[in-house]
Amino acid sequence: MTALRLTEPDLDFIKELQKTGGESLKKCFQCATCSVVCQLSPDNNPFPRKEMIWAQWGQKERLVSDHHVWLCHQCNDCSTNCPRGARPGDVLAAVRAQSIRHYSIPGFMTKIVQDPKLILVALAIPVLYVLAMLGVDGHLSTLIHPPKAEVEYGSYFLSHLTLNIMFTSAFVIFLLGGLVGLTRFINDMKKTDPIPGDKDPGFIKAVIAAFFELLAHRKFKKCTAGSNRYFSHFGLFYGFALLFIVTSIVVLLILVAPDTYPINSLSNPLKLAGNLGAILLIGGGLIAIYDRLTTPDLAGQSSYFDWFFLLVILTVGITGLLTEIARFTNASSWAYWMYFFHIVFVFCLLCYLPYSKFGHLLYRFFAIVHSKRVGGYPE
Amino acid sequence: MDTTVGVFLCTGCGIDEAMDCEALKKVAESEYKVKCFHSHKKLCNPDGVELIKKEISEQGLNRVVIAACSPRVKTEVFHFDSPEVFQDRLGLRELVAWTGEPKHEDTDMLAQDYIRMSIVKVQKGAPPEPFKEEISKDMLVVGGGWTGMHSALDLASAGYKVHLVEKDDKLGGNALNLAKRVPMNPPRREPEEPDIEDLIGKVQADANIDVHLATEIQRINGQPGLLDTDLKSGSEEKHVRVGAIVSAVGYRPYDPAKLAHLGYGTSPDVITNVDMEKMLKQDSLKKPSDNGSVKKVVFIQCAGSRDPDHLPYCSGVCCAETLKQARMLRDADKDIKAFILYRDMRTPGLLEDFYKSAQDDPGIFLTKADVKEVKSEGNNLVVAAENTLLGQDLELEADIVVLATGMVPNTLDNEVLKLNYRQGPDMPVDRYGFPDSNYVCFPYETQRTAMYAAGPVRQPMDAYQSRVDASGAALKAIQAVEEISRGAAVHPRAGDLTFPEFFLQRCTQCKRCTEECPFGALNEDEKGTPQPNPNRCRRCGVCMGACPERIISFKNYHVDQIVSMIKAVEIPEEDEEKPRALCLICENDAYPSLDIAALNKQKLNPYMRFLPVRCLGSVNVVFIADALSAGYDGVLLLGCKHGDDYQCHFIKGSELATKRMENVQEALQRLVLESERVRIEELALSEWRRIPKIVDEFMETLEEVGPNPYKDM
Amino acid sequence: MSSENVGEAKNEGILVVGGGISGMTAAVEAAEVGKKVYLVEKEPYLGGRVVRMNQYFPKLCPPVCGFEINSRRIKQNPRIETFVSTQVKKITGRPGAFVVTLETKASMVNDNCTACGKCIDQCPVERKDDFNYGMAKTKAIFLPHAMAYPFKYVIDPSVCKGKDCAKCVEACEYDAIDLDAVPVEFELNVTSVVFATGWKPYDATRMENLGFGKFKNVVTNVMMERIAAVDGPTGGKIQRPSDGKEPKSIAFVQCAGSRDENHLAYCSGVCCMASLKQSTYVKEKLPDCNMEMFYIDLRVAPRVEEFSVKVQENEKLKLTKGKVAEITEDPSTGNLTVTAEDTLAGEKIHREVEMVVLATGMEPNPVVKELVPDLEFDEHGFVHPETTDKGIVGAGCAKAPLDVYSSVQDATAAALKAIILR
Repeated sequence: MTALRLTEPDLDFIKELQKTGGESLKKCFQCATCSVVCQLSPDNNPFPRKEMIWAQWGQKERLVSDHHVWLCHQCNDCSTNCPRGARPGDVLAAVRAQSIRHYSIPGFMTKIVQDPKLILVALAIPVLYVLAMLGVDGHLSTLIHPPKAEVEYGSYFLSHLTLNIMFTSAFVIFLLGGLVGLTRFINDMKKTDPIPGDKDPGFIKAVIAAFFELLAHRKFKKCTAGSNRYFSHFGLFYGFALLFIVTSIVVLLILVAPDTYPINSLSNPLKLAGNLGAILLIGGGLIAIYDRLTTPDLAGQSSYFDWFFLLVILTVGITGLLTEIARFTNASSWAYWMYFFHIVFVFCLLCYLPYSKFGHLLYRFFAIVHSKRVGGYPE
Repeated sequence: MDTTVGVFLCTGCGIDEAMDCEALKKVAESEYKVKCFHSHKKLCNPDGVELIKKEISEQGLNRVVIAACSPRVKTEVFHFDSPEVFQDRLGLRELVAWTGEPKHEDTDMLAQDYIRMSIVKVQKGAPPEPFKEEISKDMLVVGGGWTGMHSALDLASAGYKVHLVEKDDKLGGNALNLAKRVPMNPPRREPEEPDIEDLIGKVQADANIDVHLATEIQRINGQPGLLDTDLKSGSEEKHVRVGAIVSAVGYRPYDPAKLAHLGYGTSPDVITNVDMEKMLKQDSLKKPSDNGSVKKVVFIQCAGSRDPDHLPYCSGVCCAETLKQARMLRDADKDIKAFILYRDMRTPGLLEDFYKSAQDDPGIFLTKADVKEVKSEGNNLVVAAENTLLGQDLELEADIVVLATGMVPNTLDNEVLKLNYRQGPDMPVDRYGFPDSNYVCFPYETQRTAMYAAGPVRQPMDAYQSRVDASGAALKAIQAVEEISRGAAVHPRAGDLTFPEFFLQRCTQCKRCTEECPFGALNEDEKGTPQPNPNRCRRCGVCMGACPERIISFKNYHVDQIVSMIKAVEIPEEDEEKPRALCLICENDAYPSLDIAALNKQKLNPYMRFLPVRCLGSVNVVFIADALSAGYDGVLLLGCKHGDDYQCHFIKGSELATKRMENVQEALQRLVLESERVRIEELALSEWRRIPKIVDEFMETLEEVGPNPYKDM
Repeated sequence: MSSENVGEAKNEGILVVGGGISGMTAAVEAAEVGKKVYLVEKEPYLGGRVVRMNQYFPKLCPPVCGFEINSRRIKQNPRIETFVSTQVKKITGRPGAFVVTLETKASMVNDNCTACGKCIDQCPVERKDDFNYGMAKTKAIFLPHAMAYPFKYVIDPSVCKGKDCAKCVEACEYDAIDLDAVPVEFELNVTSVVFATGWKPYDATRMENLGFGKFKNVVTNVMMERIAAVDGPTGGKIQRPSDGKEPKSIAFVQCAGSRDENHLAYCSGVCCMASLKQSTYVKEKLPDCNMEMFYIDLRVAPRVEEFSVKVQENEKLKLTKGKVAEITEDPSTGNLTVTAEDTLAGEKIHREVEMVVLATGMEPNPVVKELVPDLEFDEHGFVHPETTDKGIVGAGCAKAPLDVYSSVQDATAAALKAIILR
C-alpha cells in the first residue's frame, strides 16, 4: 500500500468543518460505534469512522472525493449512539458542504452562497436580476403602483417570454458550473476508490438502480433516530419533482400554445398536480423544520448551510402558493410583490443549486452510482 | 514444665452424633491425667464460655484444650490465651464430625487421636514471652523526591521524627524537571502547575523532619527498631538509629541510547520525553540540530516499552505525559502541530477526562500505529508507520521526534540501603529491579520487615499514585515500629508474640537457616553461627524447619512439641489393616480450605490425621522421619502454591518444603522405604474440592505400597 | 470481633464505612498501628465485591486467600469492632469529634448461631441469591458464603414468613433465632470517618443495543466471575444461561457502557484486565472454545503487562480493535451476533457466538453523597481525593475506579490519613 505522505494536515480545513457543523469532530476516539449502527454503511470499507479520523487529520482531498460521505442520509443513528458526542452525522454534513465548495465553479459563487456573512449579497443577485427582467419588460413601476385590475402576471409584471428566457439561461449557465464540478468529483471518486473491473454493473445500470432506489426512498426507511426524515424528504422530493415537472410543462406550453396560459381552472390537471406538489413541498419542509428545532440530537445540528436550503425551498413553496392565491383572489396590492419574491427565491433554489445544499441532488446521486459500481453497497 | 490441663468438649453441632464422647473423656483423663474434662452441649453459648472461665480460675488451669469447632470460627468467644494460659482450638466438628462416618470405629479412633494430639500440644507448648527492647520509633526515608517528601510529611504529621536522606544536594528529585503535571484533582482536564517548591518548603519547615542532603547511606546495622544507620555526606559522617525505613529512591528514564532503531543517536532532533519536558520548562522550543523553529512534533509512544527486547513492562504514565506535553506545545505556539502515534491510549479510570480535553485541541493528531522507522531526509525527520486507523501507512514529516520512554527503578543494579543482612544489602527485587510485592492483597510486602518501598521505585506510577503510595508505606512503617514495640510480629502473623529461640550450643554452623530465611532475619558470624534478629522475624518457622539439629523453637510451636503430637497418635498393628497417614497442613490456605470442604460435608478418609503447621517451610525433616519410624504409612504435606505466581504467604515456605522433600527421598531410600510414602501437594484456598481426592489418591498409593514395615517395631 | 454491646456509646476511634477489601484493609492497618476501629458493613458479611470474584489478575489467585488472612487479622485484633448488617444513618459533629448514628438491621439470627446448618433443611422459602447476581437461589435462612465473617446464618426478612412458619426456630438447638428481633440504633463517637463504600456494577440493561436482560446468553463480567467460581451457581462450569450448554464461542465486549457520554463517561480501568483474566478461565475449562475480545484501547496496568502478553498468546483468543455496538439474537438457538468494525482492517464484522460477556464498568456507591452532602465530589460522583479538611477520607473505589491492588494501596494510605486526623 502506498504510504500517505503527510507534510501538513490542513488545519484550515479542520477549522472550516468545525465552523460549519462539525465542531465536535475532535471528540471521536475511533471506537467505530457509528460504523456499526449505521444502517447504510457497507461491511467492506464502512463509514463514518474513518471519515472522522480523516477529518481530524485534515485530509481534505480524501474526504471531498469520498463517495461514502454521500451515502449518509443523516438519519443520526450514529450521532445518538456515539459515546463521545462526536456527532459523526453532523461532521459528514459539514464535509458534504465542503465538498460542494471544493468542486463547483466558480469558487466565489460558493462563497457567496455558503458564507452567512454574505447572505445579503446572495439575495441581492437574484433581486437585481429580477429587477433587470422587469426593466426589460418596462414594468418596474408595477411594484410601486400595482394596477388595480385583475391580477395578471404576464401582462402587468413579467412577460413569460422574458422570464423564461432570462431565467432559463441563467439557470443553465450556473448549472454548467455545477456540472463541471460534478465531473471533477466523479473523477476524483474514481481515483480515491477505483472501480474494480469484476463487479462493476456499468454506469447505465447503476444510474437506473440508483434512480429507482431514490424513488422508493428505501434508504430513508432504514434510519431509526431520524425516522421523520423519511416523511420530510418524501414531501420535499416529490413536491419539488411535481412542481418542477409542472413548471417545465408550462414553460413548453407557453412556447407552443400561448393562449392556454394562464390556467384559470383549479381542476385543470396541471393545476391539481402543481398544488399537490406545493402541499407536499410545504408539508415536507415544515416537518423538517419542526424536527430540526425540537429534536436536534435526533435530527442533527443544523448549520447555515442546512437552513439556507431548507428555508429557501420552503419559501419557494409558500410564496408560490401565495402567488397563486393572490391571483385567484385578485389581491393586487401584494400579488406582484409576492410573485417578485417567489422568483427571487426560485432563483436562489435553482441557480444556486451547484453551490448550496441542493447540490446534493447531483453529488449524492452520482456518489451512490459510484458506490454501486465499486461494490459492497448495502442494498 | 508444670502444666494444669483442662479439656472442654462441645457435643453440639453434630459432634455427639458422630462420635463416642465418653471415650474422648476416657482418653483425656486416664491417658493424660488432665486436671478436668467437661462436656457441654453448646460450648460457644454464654454459659459454656462461663464454664470455661470458671474452671480456669478455680482449677488454676494454665493449659486449655477446646475441642469444638474450627479455630477459625468463634475466635472472639473462645479466647483464653493470656500470659498464663496457653490454649489449643481443636476443630473436632470440621475434622471429624462433618467429614467422617458417624458412630464408626474409625471415626472414634480419629477423634481420640486428635484429643491426644491436642493435649500433647498444650502440654509441650507455653504462652509466649515477647521480646521487647527499648526501640527507636524514628523513621528513615531514603530519597527526597516527590514520594519521599510526602512520606516524610505523613510520618511527621503522625508524630514521628523523620530522617530524610537525599543523595543530591537539593530536594525534589525527578519532579524538579517537570514543566507541568498531569492533573491529579478533578476536573482533571488541564495540566497542573507542579507545586514541588511548596512541598520542599513544607518539608524544610517541619520540625519533625531532619533533612540530610548530599548524603548517602554507608551501612545499616541491626534490626527494625534498632537500625543503626551510618550516613556520609562528603567527608562528614553521621549516625542515627531508626525504627523503620521507607525507600523512595525513585526511577531513572530508560536509556535512550538503546533506541537507535527509533532514530535516537542518528539525529539530534530525536529526543526523549524527558528532553521535551526540559525544553518546555525552559521555554526554549528549538530544533536541537540547527536551532530552527519547531512546527511539527511527532510523539512515538511505547518507545522501548512493552517490548521484549527492551522493557517488557508498561510504564503506565507515558500516554498521559505525552498528552500533557502536546497540550503544552500547543499552548506555547498555536502553529505547532503535535502527532501522537500510540499502540493503546492508556489513560485509564478518571484520567479519561484528560484524554478528552487533549482531543479537543484541533492541532493534536492521534492514531494507533506501529512505528517502523525514523529516518532523516535532509533537514527533516520522517516517521514511517503502519497499521494505522487512517487505512493507510503513514509517513510523517517532523521537526522533532519525541520518544516516550519508560521508567527504570533506581534499585536496578544499584545498592541503596546497604543493609548488613546476610542475604543481601537491599530489599529483594523482581526481574526488572522493582522491590515490588508479589501479592495482590498485600502490596507493601518487601520481604524485609519494617522496610517499605514507595513510589516509582516500587513499580511505575504517576504523581497521584506516588503520593498515595507514600502514605501507604508511611503507615506500614508506623505499624511496624508499633508492633515491634509490643514485641509482636507484623503481617501475616500480625500480633504474634512468639519469636524463634536458638539453642546455639548445639549449632553445627550448617548455615541452612541463615540462607533459607525468607526475610533475611538471621545474620551469620565468621564461623557461620546464626545471629538472630527477632524484630526482623515474621515467625514463619522456616528456620525451625531447616535446622537439622533442631535447635530452633518457639514457645508455643517447636520440634519436640510437633514430634510428640505425631507420636501421640495410636498406630494400630499391621494386621488390623487400619493404615495411618499424617498430613502436615499449612494454616494459611490449606487448613481454611479443609474447613470449607468440611462445611460442604465432603467425606474424608478417616485414616488421615491433619496436623496444622504455620507454614510448610516450618516442617522439619525429623517430623517425617519420626512419623515413619513411629509407624505411619505415609506423610502428606498440603500447602500453598509456589513458583513465579506464588501464593505462599511467607514467600518461599512451600518451595523450600518441596526441595526438602526431594532430599527426604534419599533418606527414604536409605531406610528402604518407598518414595511414594511422602508427598507434597499444592493447594489454593478455593480448591477445597480437591482435598478428598488428594487424600483418597494418597491413601490408595499407600495401600499399593503396603503397610510401613516399621509399624510394629 | 463482632460487637457484643451494641447500644453503648463508645469513645474515640476511627469509623470505617464499608467492609469490602478497602474497608477491611483500612480497618486492619489502622488497628495494627494501635488505633481503635469500628468497621461497619451493610451486608451481613465482609468481603464486598471482591470475595465474589473467582480469581485476581495477574496471578490468577483466589480472593479468598487474602480475605482469609485479613479476616484472621480482624478476628484476632481486639481493637477492631465489626458491625455487619449495619448502616450509617447520620453523621453530625465536626472533624475530630463526630457523632455517628447507626442502625443494625433486625438480627433474627444472633451470635449463638454455630452455622451447624440444621435450619436450612426445614426452611420452606427460596429466594434469589444476590451474592450470585441472581443466578442462583438460597433459602430464606442462609449462610452468605463459605468464608463468611461473621460465620453465621442470616435471614432475609423480605421473603421470610416469620412466626407463621418458624420452622427454623424449631430446628435450632442453640436458641440462635429470634423472629421478633428489631433493628437497633446506636451511636459512636469517632475522630474521623473513612468511606470505603465501594461500587456497584453499571446496570447493563441500559445499553439497549447490547441486549442484556433481553437475550439470556448475554451476561456481564461480574456474572462471569460467579459462573467460573467453584462456589458459584454452576459449580465453576462455564455454561450459558439459556440452555446450560458449554459455549463453543464467546465474545468479550469491552467498554460496554463505559467511556460513553450516554452512560458512564469515564473508564473503569480494570475491565480489560478482567476480560483477559476471564479468557484464562475459559481456556482452562473449555480449551476448544474460541474467544474474541472487542476493545477500543487495551488498558493494562504496568505490573500486569506481562500477564496480558502471555494471555494473548492463546491462539483461541483474538483481539479486535473496534467496539461492539450491536448485538442481535437468533431465538431458535440462543446464539448471538455481535457487530463491530475491525478498525485496522476497515471492515465490519458480524460474528456469531454462543455467549457474550459485557465488560461493564463501576459506579460509585451514592451513599456517601447522601450522608455528607457538602463533601466534594467530582462530576462522576466519586469522592474528591482531598477531603481530609472535613475529617473524612475516601478509600478505594469510593474515590476512583480501581483494581484490587490499587484499592488496597489506597486503603492503606487512607488508614494513615484517618489516623493523622485528630
